[in-house]
Amino acid sequence: MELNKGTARKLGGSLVVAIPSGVVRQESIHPGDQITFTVKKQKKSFRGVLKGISDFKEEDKFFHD
Amino acid sequence: MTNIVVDAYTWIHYCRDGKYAEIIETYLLKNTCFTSSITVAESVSKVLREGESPRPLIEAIHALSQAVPFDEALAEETGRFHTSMRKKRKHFGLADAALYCTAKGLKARILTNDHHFAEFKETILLEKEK
Repeated sequence: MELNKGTARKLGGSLVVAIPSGVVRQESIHPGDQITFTVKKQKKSFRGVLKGISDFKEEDKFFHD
Repeated sequence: MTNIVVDAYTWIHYCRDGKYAEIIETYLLKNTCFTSSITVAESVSKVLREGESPRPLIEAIHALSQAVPFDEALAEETGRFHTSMRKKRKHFGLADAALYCTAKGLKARILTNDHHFAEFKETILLEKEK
C-alpha cells in the first residue's frame, strides 16, 4: 500500500487527518465504513541548523587524553 | 529498519550541513536511531564552546532519535570494555567505550566517521558511505 501523508488538524480534544480522495476511491471507502490505519509522526529535517560551527574533533571528546 | 547509535561527530556534522549531511539524514530518517546521554553532553558542550545556542541541536536529537541514559550497568560495562581496549590501543577513549557499549546493548550499529571504530563490524563509517 502506498504511504500517504496528511496534516493533523485540531477537532475538540482530538486531531483529524483527511483521507486523500485517491485512497477513498482505491479502497472504496464510504462514510460510516470501518477502516484501519497506522499513525506515525513524519520526521523533520534539521540539516544545517547550526551552519556556523566547526566539525567535532578528537579533542572535543569527553575524557579525551 | 536498523537500530543505529549516532555519535557526536555525526550530530555536529549533520547540524552544520557538512559533506556527509545527506547520508546522515537518510540514516536518521529511515532507521531507529539512539543517542547516548554522553553524546548529548559532548555535542552540547561543543556547540556552546563555539558560541552558539545548543537548542537546535537538542531539538534535532530529540526529534530524530531516542535518548539512552548512561546508567550504572552501562558504566560498569564501559569501564570493563575501556580497560580491554586500552591493552590494544593506548588512545581509545572512555567516551568511545561508552558509545560502543551503548550500541552493543541495543544491538545497534554505530554511525560515525571516527576511525577508532573502524575495526568494529557494527560501524557505519561515513567516509565509506560517500
